[in-house]
Parts: sequence; structure tokens; C-alpha cells
Amino acid sequence: MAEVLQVETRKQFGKQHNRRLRKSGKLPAVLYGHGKEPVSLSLSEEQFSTSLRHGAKVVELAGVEQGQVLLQDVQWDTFQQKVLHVDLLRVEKGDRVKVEIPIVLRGVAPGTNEGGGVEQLLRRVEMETSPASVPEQLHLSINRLQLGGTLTVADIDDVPEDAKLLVEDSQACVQCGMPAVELEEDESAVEGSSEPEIVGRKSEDQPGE
Amino acid sequence: MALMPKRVKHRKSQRGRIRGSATRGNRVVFGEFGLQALEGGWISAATIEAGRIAAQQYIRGEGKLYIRIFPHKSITSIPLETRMGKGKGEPDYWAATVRPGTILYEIGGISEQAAKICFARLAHKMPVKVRMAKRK
Repeated sequence: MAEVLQVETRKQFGKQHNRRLRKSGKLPAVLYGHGKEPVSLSLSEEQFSTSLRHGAKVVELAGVEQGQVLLQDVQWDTFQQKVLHVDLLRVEKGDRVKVEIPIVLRGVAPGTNEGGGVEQLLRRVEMETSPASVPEQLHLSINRLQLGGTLTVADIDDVPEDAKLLVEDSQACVQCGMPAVELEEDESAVEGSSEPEIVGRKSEDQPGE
Repeated sequence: MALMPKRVKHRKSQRGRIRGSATRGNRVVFGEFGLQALEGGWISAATIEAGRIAAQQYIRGEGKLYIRIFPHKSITSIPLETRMGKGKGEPDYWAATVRPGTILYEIGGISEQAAKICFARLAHKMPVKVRMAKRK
């Protein structure tokens, strides 16, 4: 069941009004898509945070606007803690939507027992799917990841049947390798380089100068 | 050896002012967890290095540490017991200018609990208030 967001029409615009709106526990949002006029909306911050926490990508609107919408874009503040604004895209049955879904690793890689470290190279994957079957996350089992091995996009376990991944199947997703050994820095090698080179200044000890 | 630029146009720079918050470099992009500055300030190359050592001694080869700031700014000072005037001092150290919101370090490949402890150790070295941030 899709998350439900209660929305109201927003008639006042600009940073001053939006700041007041945020102080009152609401968020400014805009709804667009399907050739219809964009509509300025406000929605409850609490409801929206809950939907985000649940990993929802497609939500149901209630109130002045109804129907399914895709969370197209979310703007965050500098500290990435508070949502500032939300973009909602109208979707209908039969539509195909492009969404970025996070990839979550599952299990324990046997390679880690041999001293290896697991490095996730691809954390999100773009997929084209119907709005009804947008998954919260995709899972990749690393139980067969040996030391020096790599798992690719093709190894992702639970891609929905009607979904199409928009990356190549051969793209590496996660690898298990030995951690890089930190080289002891040779103090003598850096001697004499206590100041950086100045662009355009000729070196004093150049011959013939 | 502390971080320092390889080539610069000018040896000395004006002090400048740190205004506003970070609009770039304020998201965790390489690892899973980050250390985010909550205040602006200068972070010296020696401090960045001290933080790196503190973090790496804790994670000990597990996971990966990313340093997201670089000391581009030379900070000058005049010697002690010098009369005022006679021009700007000589470069003393290099520092990174940090605005509130900047991600200073990132860690990947370790658990959240381990990252929390690691950043707590690292935070002691920092001259600005910090918080732990997660990748969104």
C-alpha cells in the first residue's frame, strides 16, 4: 500500500512565505506532469519524513489533489537534515517512470575471512519501471564474493519483472580486495619541498640565469 | 608530511571572510558516513593529518577513509618580538577554509557503530564543531 500524503493548495509564494510555512510544520511542494498545469502545494513535514524514512518513491495524494505521484526531487538544507522543498510528478497506470533505487548488500563475503575488504562501487542504479512496482531498494547477495572477485549489476537479486535497469549488466557493483597498504613516507624525499613552487617564478639555481 | 599545494600563483593570500554555508562538498558521496562541520573556520594541514592518523589508527585497514578538504590557503605570521609594520609576515602553515556544512572526512566499509567511535576520536582533533552525517 502506497504512503498517503495530505496536500493543500499553496497560494503564497516566495522565500518569506515558504519560511513561515516550514515553521508551521509544512513543506512547500510543486506538482507537475502529464501535460497539466503545475500546481503549488503544501504538505505535512511529518507525513513526508515518514514516507522518506520508509523509502517510498511513489506516494498517493489526498486532499486538493489526488492520484499517484512520484517523488521526483527533494531539496535539503545545507546540513542535509531538513527538507526544504519537494517536486512531485504525476503518474498514472501504464506509465513508465525512471527512478534511482539504492542497492543494499546482503550477507557476508567469504573474501573478508581471508583479510579482504568489501567495497561497494555502485550504490544506486537507475531503472525504468511501472509506478506500481517501484521497489524501495534492490538487494545484492555477497555470500559468493571471494577475495579478488567482483559482482556486477547482473547479479542483483530482486529486480522487478517489468523493470529495466538503465545501466549495463557488466557494470561492477561490489568488489572484494585486499586493503591498500599504507606506505611509510620517506622523510628525506620530501625535504626541501617545504614551500610550493610559485607559478611563473624561475628557479634561482637554474644554470645560465 | 602534512598536505600542501604543489604549485601556487602567490605565496601569500589575504585572510578573507567565511560567509554563508557550504553549498558544495556538503554531501556524503564517497563513503557511507561523513564528518560534517557545523561552524566555519580554518583547519590547518597539521590538524587534517592528525585527524587522518586518529581515524586510521582506529579503523586499522578495515574500511576506507576519505579526506574531503585540502589546505589551499597559506597562513602567514610575523615572528615574536617584532615591531609592527615592515609588511606581511612569512607563510607559517597551510589551511583549508571550511564553511558550515562542509564534509571533512568520509568513511566507508565499516559499521555505523565503528564509524561513530572513529569520528568521535577524530572530532577531538577538530577546531570546529562537527556532527556525523550519513549518506542519503
